[in-house]
Amino acid sequence: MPQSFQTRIEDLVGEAAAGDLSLTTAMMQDMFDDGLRAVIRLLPDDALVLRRSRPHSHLLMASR
Amino acid sequence: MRNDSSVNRKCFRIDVGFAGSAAEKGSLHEASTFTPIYYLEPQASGFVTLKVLPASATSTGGILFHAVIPPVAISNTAMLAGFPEDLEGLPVFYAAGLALMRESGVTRRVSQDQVEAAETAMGKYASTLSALVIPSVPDVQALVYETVGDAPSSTVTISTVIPAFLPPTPFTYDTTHTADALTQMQDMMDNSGIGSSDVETYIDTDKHLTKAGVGIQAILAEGRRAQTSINDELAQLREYEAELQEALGQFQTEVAARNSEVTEQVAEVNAGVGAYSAEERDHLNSFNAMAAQYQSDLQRYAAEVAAKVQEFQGKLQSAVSYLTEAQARVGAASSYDGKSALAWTTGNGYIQHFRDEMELYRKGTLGNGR
Repeated sequence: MPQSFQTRIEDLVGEAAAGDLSLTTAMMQDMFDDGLRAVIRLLPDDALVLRRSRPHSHLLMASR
Repeated sequence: MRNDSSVNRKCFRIDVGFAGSAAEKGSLHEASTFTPIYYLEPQASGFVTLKVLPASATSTGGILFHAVIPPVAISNTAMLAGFPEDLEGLPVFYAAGLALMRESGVTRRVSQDQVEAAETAMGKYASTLSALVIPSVPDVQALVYETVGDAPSSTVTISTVIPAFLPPTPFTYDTTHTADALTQMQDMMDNSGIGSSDVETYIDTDKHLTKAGVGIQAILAEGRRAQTSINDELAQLREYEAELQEALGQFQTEVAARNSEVTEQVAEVNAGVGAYSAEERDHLNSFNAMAAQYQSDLQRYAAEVAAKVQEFQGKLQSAVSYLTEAQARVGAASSYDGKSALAWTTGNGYIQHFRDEMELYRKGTLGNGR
């Protein structure tokens, strides 16, 4: 049974949400979003192209 | 992208400094519909405007493609579709790294709070622990008792001689002659004192007036003899009475003299002792007052010292409590500092792991392209 991202974050931090450090789920979500953006920002352009070329890709969307 | 009404053409970015030459007709650098460019032009408002050349005849707008990242809830167990599988764990590491850095900051803040509290406690400690100031010792007089000086004579002797009463030579009563004369007169009058007869017989019985006259003359003679004897006795008695009175007078004079002398001496002794006692009593009262004053000063000073010491003990207790608090605060700060450092190191390690993994992926050694 795969663990949720929150559980995996909490395992690495050693602190549950709303614990002694008042680390909230919202904070975790923001940090996770930052990590997600950082990964995408650092991905090579061709990776984006490749991902976009996949039939089930929902990662990249064009808008004007 | 630039749309020329039929085809989207990719724009190449140029520096804003070359925008003039890119728009210049006939220039080698003039942007064409086949080689459109774009540049970012800073505005006075602080915003940056993206401009595309050549400008479209129908529209000045370019086509901007941007990535829209769908939200991925951390409650999910899987990343969104299309995300590189090799990198799915990295946002978790990134988030954990940020969380630990946040923890590092939070604990550092808590540590700082503890340090500031310790500084506050030390400030209170410094202001609380003033020097113990003992009141100066009061000036007191020496307690010396001095007697008045010369005391009255320790022995006062007053003569207690009782004057002797010296009576005159005792008076000897002698009534022999008087009694005899009176007996003779009585006998000659009516108790046969004249021979065997008496005057009463001569007159009443014998009627012999001559004999009666002679008898009366004899009675008168005896009367005169009795009178003489009585007068003599009376004179002697008066003489004795005078002598006795004189002796009594002398005795009384001596008694009065002795009495006066004793009275005078006793008064003298009383006056001396009284004056000495009064002066001695004044000295004693003064001494007692000085002793009482000394004891009062002593007690008051002891009370002042005790109060000062008690007050200082209270400050000491407060100082100890402040020091204890500062000690605890510093200990807590050290503990939080350790936690902060550990959190920072761990979080930084996670971020570094994120970077390393991304670098490997970019180099194609992490299954890039799967």
